[in-house]
Amino acid sequence: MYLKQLTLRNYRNHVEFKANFAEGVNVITGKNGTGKTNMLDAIYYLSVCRSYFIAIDQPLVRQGEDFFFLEGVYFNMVETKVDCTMRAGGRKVFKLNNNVYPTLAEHIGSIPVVIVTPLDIALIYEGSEERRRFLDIALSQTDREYLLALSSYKRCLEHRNSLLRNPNGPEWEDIVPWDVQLVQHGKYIHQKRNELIKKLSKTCTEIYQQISGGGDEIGLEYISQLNQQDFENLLEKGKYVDSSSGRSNFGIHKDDLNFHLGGQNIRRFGSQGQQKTYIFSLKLALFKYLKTETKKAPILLLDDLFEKLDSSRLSNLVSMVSRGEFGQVFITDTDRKRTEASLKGCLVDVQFFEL
Amino acid sequence: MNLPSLLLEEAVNELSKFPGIGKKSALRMVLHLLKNNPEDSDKLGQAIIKMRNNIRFCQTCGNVSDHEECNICTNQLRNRQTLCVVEDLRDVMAIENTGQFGGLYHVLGGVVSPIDGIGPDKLNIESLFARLTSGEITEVVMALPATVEGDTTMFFLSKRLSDYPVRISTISRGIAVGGSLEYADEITLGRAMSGRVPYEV
Ligand SMILES: Nc1ncnc2c1ncn2[C@@H]1O[C@H](COP(=O)(O)OP(=O)(O)O)[C@@H](O)[C@H]1O
Ligand SMILES: [Mg+2]
Ligand SMILES: [Zn+2]
Repeated sequence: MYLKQLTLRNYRNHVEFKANFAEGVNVITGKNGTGKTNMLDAIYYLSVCRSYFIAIDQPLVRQGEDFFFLEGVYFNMVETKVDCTMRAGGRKVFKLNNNVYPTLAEHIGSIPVVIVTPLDIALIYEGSEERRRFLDIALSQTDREYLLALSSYKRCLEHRNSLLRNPNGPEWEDIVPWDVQLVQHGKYIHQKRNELIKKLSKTCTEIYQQISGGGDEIGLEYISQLNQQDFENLLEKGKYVDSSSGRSNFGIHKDDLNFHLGGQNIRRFGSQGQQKTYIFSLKLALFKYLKTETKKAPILLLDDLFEKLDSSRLSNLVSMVSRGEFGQVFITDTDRKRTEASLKGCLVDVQFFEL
Repeated sequence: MNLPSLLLEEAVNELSKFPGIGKKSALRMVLHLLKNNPEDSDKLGQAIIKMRNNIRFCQTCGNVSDHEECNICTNQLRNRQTLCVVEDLRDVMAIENTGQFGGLYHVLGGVVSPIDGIGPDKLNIESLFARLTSGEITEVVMALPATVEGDTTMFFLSKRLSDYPVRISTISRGIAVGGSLEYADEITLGRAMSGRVPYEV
């Protein structure tokens, strides 16, 4: 599966953009602010019905306009067309070959995608919510049940918290049905996250060794209160804490990931280069996972690839990409010459686009 | 939106309070009214006022009605042993349109939703149990939405229903029925899939 043609209209800074892409490597170059990242974001959007950077749609519409339109023509034995129209003040409409999708969830996962951007360093530096989002993005593309369980879980949690905030103390009897559902959905989510991390951690290590040339010992660990204890027990034992704090302190909404380097947390003990390599490895491991699960090679979006990786790591990475291990790849860079030089000898088609 | 007349603006504002109607559609409706005869607007206004002032809710089941009791409750040809519990009026209409159900209804007027301050006590539930005490009803079908709120409501109902000699059943519900997938799309995805960087232009 690859993106053959992309059309953007009024998406972020783009007025009208249309291009035909190579099945191999596509390099987008241009000065800062020309819309390279926005273009990758549009490709991401067509896959998961969302921007990677902004949760709401309104700011994605080009300033002064009242709609945006995205269209991707994909090729995988046959051509399929996906388009999205989003009107200001309205709702976005996704179509597959001109038929409107009844719900967006039906589309998500049909064109798997992995994006790597310099902002992903937030996975290491920001709070646990970033790391749970990583898990959710991965699983939402492979498991519709997961998406549903996650949404039900979050909804139950909001209701439960509002009952806990009762000024006269919570009525535990009213909380019971929410707990029943919380447990049901929470256990499913925990199981899926656990399976995902088991699958990712081995691949992540392998890729890290390939990029860094060996040496560092890395690890990926899933941290969850549900790892050791039964969720029902946790809720039962947590009643006192929950009622005195007025919110739910136990469950998969407290999950986290631990990224280690040599047995220590990479945030404190990793160099910038090691951290960046870790993120790449994690994302490329996600790529392989999605490929296995969906039986399609995801589209790989590498934003500002040439930032901050030292040249030997970079050339290991580029050579993995250019051996065709990753299907269709989009790379952005400000410096065309630099990219051209490092892709010399690339075994797959390379096409350059200047914005 | 800048409108050249306050009268126009007021009408647009009122219309845009409808679910699914934005300012633009509201303006389109108002312009349509202006194009037609004033009598048409008059008729519309009268119909709305008359509907709102005179409509009643059935004392027995909570369905809309022109009288004290609705014409489903008074219809002696219907199966009076089976009672279908629904969230609101739209469900009554939807089920009636299928033509597959010949029993009676009970409209709860909502589902349990703590974040909106709706507990079981805010729903039309006591009158449901009052109806059951006569003993005529032998089966209660819970046709509530396939959402976490619908499930919680069913949990409360079934617990209380177990005190009565009635059979309890639910309609079969697939994912496709529920609003929960919609919800997954719009809200969870928004939080899950993006939103890390504050908006800046
Ligand atoms: N809704 C919008 N309308 C107009 N311009 C926008 C909008 N959203 C973002 N931009 C502009 O897009 C530009 C950033 O594009 P970006 O894709 O980040 O550039 P690059 O990656 O090439 O450096 C910024 O100048 C920003 O102001
Ligand atoms: Mg950029
Ligand atoms: Zn009635």
